[in-house]
Amino acid sequence: MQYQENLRVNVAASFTKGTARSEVFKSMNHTDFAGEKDLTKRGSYNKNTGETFTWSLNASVNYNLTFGKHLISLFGRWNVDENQGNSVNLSAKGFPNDNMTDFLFGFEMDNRVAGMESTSRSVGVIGQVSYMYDTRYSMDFSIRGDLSSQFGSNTGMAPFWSIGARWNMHKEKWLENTFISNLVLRGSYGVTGSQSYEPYQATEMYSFRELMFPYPATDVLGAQLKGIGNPDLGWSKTKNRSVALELGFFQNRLNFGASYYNNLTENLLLDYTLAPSVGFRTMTTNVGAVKNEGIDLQLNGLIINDWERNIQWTLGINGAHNRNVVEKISNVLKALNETNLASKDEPLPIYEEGKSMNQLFTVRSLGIDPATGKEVYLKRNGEKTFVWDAVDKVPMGDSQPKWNGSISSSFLYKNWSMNLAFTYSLGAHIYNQTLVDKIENSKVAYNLDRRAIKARWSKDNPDAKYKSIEIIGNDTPQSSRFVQKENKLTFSSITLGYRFDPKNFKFLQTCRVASLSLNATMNDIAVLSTIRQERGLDYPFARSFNLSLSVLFN
Amino acid sequence: MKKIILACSWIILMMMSACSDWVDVSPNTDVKSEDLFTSESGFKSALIGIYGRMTDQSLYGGHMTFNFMEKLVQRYDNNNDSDDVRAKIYDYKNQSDPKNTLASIWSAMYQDIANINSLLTYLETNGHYITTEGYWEMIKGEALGLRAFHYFDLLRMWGPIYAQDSTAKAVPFRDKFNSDKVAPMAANELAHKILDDLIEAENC
Repeated sequence: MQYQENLRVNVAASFTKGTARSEVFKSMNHTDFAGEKDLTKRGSYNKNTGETFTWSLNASVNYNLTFGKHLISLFGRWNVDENQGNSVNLSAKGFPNDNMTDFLFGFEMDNRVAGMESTSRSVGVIGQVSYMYDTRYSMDFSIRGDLSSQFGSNTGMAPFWSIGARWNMHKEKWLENTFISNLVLRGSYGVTGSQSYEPYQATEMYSFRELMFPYPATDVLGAQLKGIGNPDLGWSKTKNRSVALELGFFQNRLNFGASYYNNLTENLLLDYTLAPSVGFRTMTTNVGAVKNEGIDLQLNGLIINDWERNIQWTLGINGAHNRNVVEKISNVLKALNETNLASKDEPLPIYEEGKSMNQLFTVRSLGIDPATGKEVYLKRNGEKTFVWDAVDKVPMGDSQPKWNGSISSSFLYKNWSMNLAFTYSLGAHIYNQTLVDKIENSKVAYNLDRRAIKARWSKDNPDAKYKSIEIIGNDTPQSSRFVQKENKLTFSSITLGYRFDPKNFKFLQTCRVASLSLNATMNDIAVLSTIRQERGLDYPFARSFNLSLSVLFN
Repeated sequence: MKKIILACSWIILMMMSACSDWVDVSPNTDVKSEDLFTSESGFKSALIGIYGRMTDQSLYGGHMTFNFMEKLVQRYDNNNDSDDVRAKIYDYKNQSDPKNTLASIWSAMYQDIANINSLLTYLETNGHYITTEGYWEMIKGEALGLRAFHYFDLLRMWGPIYAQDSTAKAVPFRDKFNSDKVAPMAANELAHKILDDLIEAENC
């Protein structure tokens, strides 16, 4: 029969097991125990072990049907997943002799056993129907249903769906044999869900852990409620809307792509503060909403394609602009805003409905007063003042770049290859913590930035950017004086490669090697930025070098 | 063709219906409420848990007995501890230390009440799991008595001076464990609720 040739059934299973281990042993002679006389309290051993186990099973059916210019394909997929995690942390103390280095020699356990356990399971089905006419027009519709153990018992199966249409204009008669080799217009609309949440957040549970003490009057151990469950807790849903255009010229040697998206995520899971008489402070509920809107542009071209001399050079550049807007927040986040607004040290995130998630709130500064050397602030009502007040904070820009993207180049010459990758970002407003920490809020006794001495206000230098040196002074509070606009170019990686062609190396032929290639990669090479700031010791630059050799036998 | 589609959809349907139980995961480290109350010892644990909770330092293992309450009634002073000087603890509406102490007492009291209400609800729905003669009545009586005791202490602390104004708003009364908002109840009404609980406990 005809249909059996077009029917494809696929079954796949995967299992992953991971183990993690960390052990910290401190000898009895460690300086931590210098003041301890009791030998049975010297020396410590922390032993943490963790295990993860993940398995998934999926089966899919695909069926294609062609008649005339019509092509219909049907697709169905069923999957089951389980994720398990388990960890145990043990710590013992008292290793009174350096020959006793195994955990079992510990004199006593230091803390109670800690650790965690999590299991989450999900089941899903996907059905998809697509139809194509004459390879020019196509439409597809897909629907999926998911069950997950992470959500409330009343939630049931969440149906998600999407619909898309595509018009291959380059297949139309009026574009045949022109310099345009690819022209596609496509659009889609759909609802998707997110699943990366805590495993037991919806469940109402009793715990024995905090009540583990003896009860002379009874034969059981006490249990208490751990939190309030939310049987109605459901998926957060995202409405995805997008349109895109693809363009290709000269047999696709030059390609251009543009897309616009507008995604609204609703029912985001956030903690919600409950009435104080409930007994528990917060409950996870579906309350938040965020909108993301943006465009992506791509341009890449095969600039040199010389087969005779074996040279090939491709260059690509892409850019993206994204704008996010908080549509709805919970009362927990509103309370967090209040504490964050009061912060004096550095600007903390403020979430306001109808505004960007990355607003930078701080007090407006007019700079250093040339007469006194003090910082002049602007109040909300426009008055000038020397007094810093958290109430005067206003949005001073957005920490998300207006435009960001990457540039990549790939060059091939005979058996040599070279790849370069850059990223760039433009127009982000950054609070320059280095300026505050290393110039104004540093002590003269420590290592200092050059500007900490030379760029400070004094009677001889009244136009300075930074306030006068004070031996005993208050720390400089946050203000717009340290908010700077950042344009950044990062040289993120370079790869050099050479392929040993067995045609040129007889030795490889005798070893039956089909191909041998050597690659050298270097990452995080350089950063050019309009802001001069330190990465500090917490997250310093890590330049990494990799050398790899890959061999393929025939 | 039709047979295959029919067979496939039937298989998928069977798999999905079997799976709604499978995605109902019970954690290993804690017990789901609905699983705890499926044995007599689970009910006993929940009751003992309330007594255990009451020994907390925020409650009768500290502030509600010898600590904050006794300091408020001037039974003794802790002169070495500047957090507890009289001027500070009597200004409990403005000073953060006594404010935090009061907040911890309030939330621990209501967390006890949440535990009591949860136990009382499960006594009604899952009471048939208790098999020993007289146990159901004893647990219910003790739970009701404990609830009356907690509300009496809440009324004592947050209520008005009863002899002067017994209709003033005191504290919210909850007899169900849920997340609904409940307005504070008038002191005389709350007193009746306490008496009702005590009478019901006696008749258990």
